[in-house]
Amino acid sequence: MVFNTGSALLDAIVLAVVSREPEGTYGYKITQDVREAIEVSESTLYPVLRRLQKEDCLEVYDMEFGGRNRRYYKITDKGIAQLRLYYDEWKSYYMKINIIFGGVK
Amino acid sequence: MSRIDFMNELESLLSDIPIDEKEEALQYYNGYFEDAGEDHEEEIMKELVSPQRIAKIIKAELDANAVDREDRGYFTEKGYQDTIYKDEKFELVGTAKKEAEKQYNENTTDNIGSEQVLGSDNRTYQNNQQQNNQQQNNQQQNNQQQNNQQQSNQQRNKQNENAGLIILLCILAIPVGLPFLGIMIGVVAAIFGIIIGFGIAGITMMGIGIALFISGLIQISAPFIGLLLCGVGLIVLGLGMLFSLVSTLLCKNVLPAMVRGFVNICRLPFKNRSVTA
Repeated sequence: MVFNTGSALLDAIVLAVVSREPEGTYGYKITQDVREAIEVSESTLYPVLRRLQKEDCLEVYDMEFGGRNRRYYKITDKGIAQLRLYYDEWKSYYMKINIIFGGVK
Repeated sequence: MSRIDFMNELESLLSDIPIDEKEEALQYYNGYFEDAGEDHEEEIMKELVSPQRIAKIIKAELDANAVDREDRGYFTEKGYQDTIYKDEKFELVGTAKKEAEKQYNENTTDNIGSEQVLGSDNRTYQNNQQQNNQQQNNQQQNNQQQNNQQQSNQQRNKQNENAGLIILLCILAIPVGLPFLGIMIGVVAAIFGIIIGFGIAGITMMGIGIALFISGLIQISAPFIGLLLCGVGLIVLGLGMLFSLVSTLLCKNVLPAMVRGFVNICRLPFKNRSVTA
């Protein structure tokens, strides 16, 4: 992959990944899911998740799993609104780029 | 290094950040190791590189909260791993770049560690580095061009600066200047009025003086009253002549001087402007 990715796009991908799980999802799984699309290191997502949590786009709760507490991330209403905004931006962006690329054979 | 050691070291490295931030981060990475399973511990530690690096990333994010995120820079996907977080691998723009350079000098040992870990992936990593270096060079060139442009702009701006300042001053002076102008006009009108008044009074007194003199001559048959009237008439005529003389003098010399002075005050800002332009 040769294209640059801005931090806004990473936020959008993380929000989208978390929003796919209505009951919430956890750090390790989020990392694996994000990696389906872009290559990120294990250390990339913690600060992103923490920031989104502080911005009230994500909420966290702990639930017991396998004898310990696992921290779950769940998207909030604000997060959904933010994701929709990102998605609209992305759609208009890729459509414009596609039109320009339309002439390439 | 075992996972326990890793986490212990991370904990001690995070001792200078707020306690809730520390707990949050430790819980996240503990949970991460748990969820990945024992088999992946080695692998994950390799990818995390070192507790120092993780601590640095967490702190960088805490610091970066104050900075506009768009200002923090871009990163390629391959180099994504760490871009925001100021390693030498990432291309950075603006303020973040300087800090990254500083950090790079401080943390060369860390970087050696990351190179070893990326051993298997070395080829792509080096490619990335080259790319990023190129991009950095390009950015530096761009920055230089921008600087040059800014300099010439600054010179041009300096020339216009004074004129601009004076115009600004004039605009800002309107609330103060308008009443001041009004007062000036009032004072001038009052002085003008007084002078005119003096002149008219003088002429009138001359007329009264003459009339009194004539009536005195008519009543000369009663010598006391006639002579008194003649005398008073002459005094009034003399005073009237003095008044009109003074007022004409004032009209001739004082008024034009005042008008000139007033005009000069009005002209002052325009004069300055023509000098600086």
